[in-house]
Amino acid sequence: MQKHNQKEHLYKLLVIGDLGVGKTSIIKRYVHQNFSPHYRATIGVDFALKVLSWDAETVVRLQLWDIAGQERFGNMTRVYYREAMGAFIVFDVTRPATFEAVTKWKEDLDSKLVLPNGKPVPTVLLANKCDQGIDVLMNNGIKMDQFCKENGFVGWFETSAKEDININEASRCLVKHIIASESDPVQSIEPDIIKPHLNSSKAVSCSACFKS
Amino acid sequence: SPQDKRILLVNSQNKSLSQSFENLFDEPSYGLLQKLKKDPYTVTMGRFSKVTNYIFDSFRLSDPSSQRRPPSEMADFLNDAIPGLKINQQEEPGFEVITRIDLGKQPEVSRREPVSAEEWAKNMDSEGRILNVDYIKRLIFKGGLCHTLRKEAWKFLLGYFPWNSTKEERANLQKRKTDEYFRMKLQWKSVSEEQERRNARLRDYRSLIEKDVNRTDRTNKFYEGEDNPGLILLHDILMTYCMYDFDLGYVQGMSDLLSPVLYVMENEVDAFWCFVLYMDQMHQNFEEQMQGMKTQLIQLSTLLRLLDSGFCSYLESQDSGYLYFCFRWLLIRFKREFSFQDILRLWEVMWTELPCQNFHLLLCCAILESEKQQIMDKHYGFNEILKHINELSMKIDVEYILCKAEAISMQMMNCKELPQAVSEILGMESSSVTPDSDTGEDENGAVLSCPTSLYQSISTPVTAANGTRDSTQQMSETQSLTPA
Repeated sequence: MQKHNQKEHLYKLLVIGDLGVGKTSIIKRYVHQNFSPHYRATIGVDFALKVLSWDAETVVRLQLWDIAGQERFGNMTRVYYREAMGAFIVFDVTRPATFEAVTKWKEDLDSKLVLPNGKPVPTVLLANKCDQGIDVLMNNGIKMDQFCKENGFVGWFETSAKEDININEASRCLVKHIIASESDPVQSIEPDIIKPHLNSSKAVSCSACFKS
Repeated sequence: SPQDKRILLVNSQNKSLSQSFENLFDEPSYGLLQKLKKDPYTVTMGRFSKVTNYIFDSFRLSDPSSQRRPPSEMADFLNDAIPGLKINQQEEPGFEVITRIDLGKQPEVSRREPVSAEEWAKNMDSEGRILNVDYIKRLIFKGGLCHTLRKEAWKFLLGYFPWNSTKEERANLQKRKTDEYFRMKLQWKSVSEEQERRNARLRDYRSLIEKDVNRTDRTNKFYEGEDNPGLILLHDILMTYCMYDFDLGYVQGMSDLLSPVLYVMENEVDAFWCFVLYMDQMHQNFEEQMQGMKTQLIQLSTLLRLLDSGFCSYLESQDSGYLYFCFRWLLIRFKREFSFQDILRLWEVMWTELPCQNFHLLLCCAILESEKQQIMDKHYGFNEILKHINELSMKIDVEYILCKAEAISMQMMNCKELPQAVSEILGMESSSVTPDSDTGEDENGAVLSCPTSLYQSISTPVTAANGTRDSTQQMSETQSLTPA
């Protein structure tokens, strides 16, 4: 039964990170409660919807954008970032190179997407495949906290799509930060729907502009 | 003269548009420019030449309550789309609205049964040469192949076997190609662990291939289960392709292109060489700059504009004019949009290269046109359009969409004033460059001659020999495909 005064939020969330780190698996686990090692490689983008009963008055609908990790597609798939409200950046704990790529993904995200108030979108870091036992982080929790702080992540979780570890928790963490960021004072009043790039000072440097 | 300038501008369109795509990828600010300038508007409109009127058509039609952008914003959008243009101050401000190009009614198109083994055999001489290549291609275009024929016929369609080769010549060819394949296969097979440790690119290719082989069509019998030999073949062919073309190596999506080819060939060597030839067509899609993708998106938008300017304007108003939502369709030729069996049909039809160049772009148009109603009625925005198109996967009827795309091709070929850019995309240019089109003839004359040359290539040799300019008549002949 839909309560009379129930609020509904729809958030577009990005799931990004290197190829084969388990982005699709995390989403399938989160939305469909199952796991397969054979999910097809994502080409372009895939979508999934997760509905959360946030509290008695609030329903949160998460539109998850599962974006292909292949670097070569990056130029084209980055158009999918627009209007997102939050992001997960995923890496594979068994492959150090995918962790090294995390800062690159984060910088890329922040350079292409900001909230209407000019702040970066809340982003949670997921250290996936933690069930594999070859954890490159190994007791580096403190360092990870430091890493998140330095790189502007609102939090991090060791996750396993296979064993269903920490995915719900990570999502709640992200949603919590999104809701908090929504109540932040908006610095500029933008009458249109959210068009983060319009507020970005970079917009005027677009090479497509005709400057007089 | 101003006329010449216009022609020059049209010719440069692809380059500048493609430049704009690049800018777009590099810039987060792909939205509207806030600048409002009149001159670019004029120039831009001028460049769109005859197509201009479409945009105005749609403005005239626009419902005040809809959220369509005002012309000034539209100008910004177009301006944004074509950067780097020199503003021509001499050009007369304003623009002429030319009569809308009428493509006429979409003709009814029907498909036929797949080519049978009997039909195929009847078209072969005693030494195994294919007799009437245009005719057999036409049959394949209209109905595809029955499955048992695919293993042989695909080798011709992809160009592995020359159509006029004898059975003996083909056997020799296969022998040579087998040696060549195993020579390349041995190259990566014989790399020691030590060597690979010092070869980052090979290591990366291998790791990508292993990841993707493990998740390519795993529900298909040929690739399901843990130790399916199909998986090893997929892996080995992709690794050998890295040796064949180390610069490209492996890029995601390639396993999707190989999987149906290997499934049909059931032979490592044949599958490899057919895949090589398919990759020749698709190579640009996977290159570093993805030039193939950019070119195709531009071409698609040119075709769609002619077909349905109102829909184009709508997409532009939703910042979706660049048609990114077709990314997956184009990258791997609809592989993820249809069932495995339907893909076999769709690909063999496309490989006939009939009825025109870039028929796959007309397939995109056909699908988009089918979805237009819903997209516009529900007033989908950027995100919803992407999601909607993405979720068409496995819901499109392959025969219906082939009919529709063919019907669109007929509309375009019959069009008397087909824009130059469109006839170039559909390949009506090359064969129409006859001496007389260079000399005294006006622009229209050159365009008019295009459909003729196209029909020559698609109709049966008998009709083609006439070389008549009456395209309507030829169209009816090609439609009623009767066995020779």
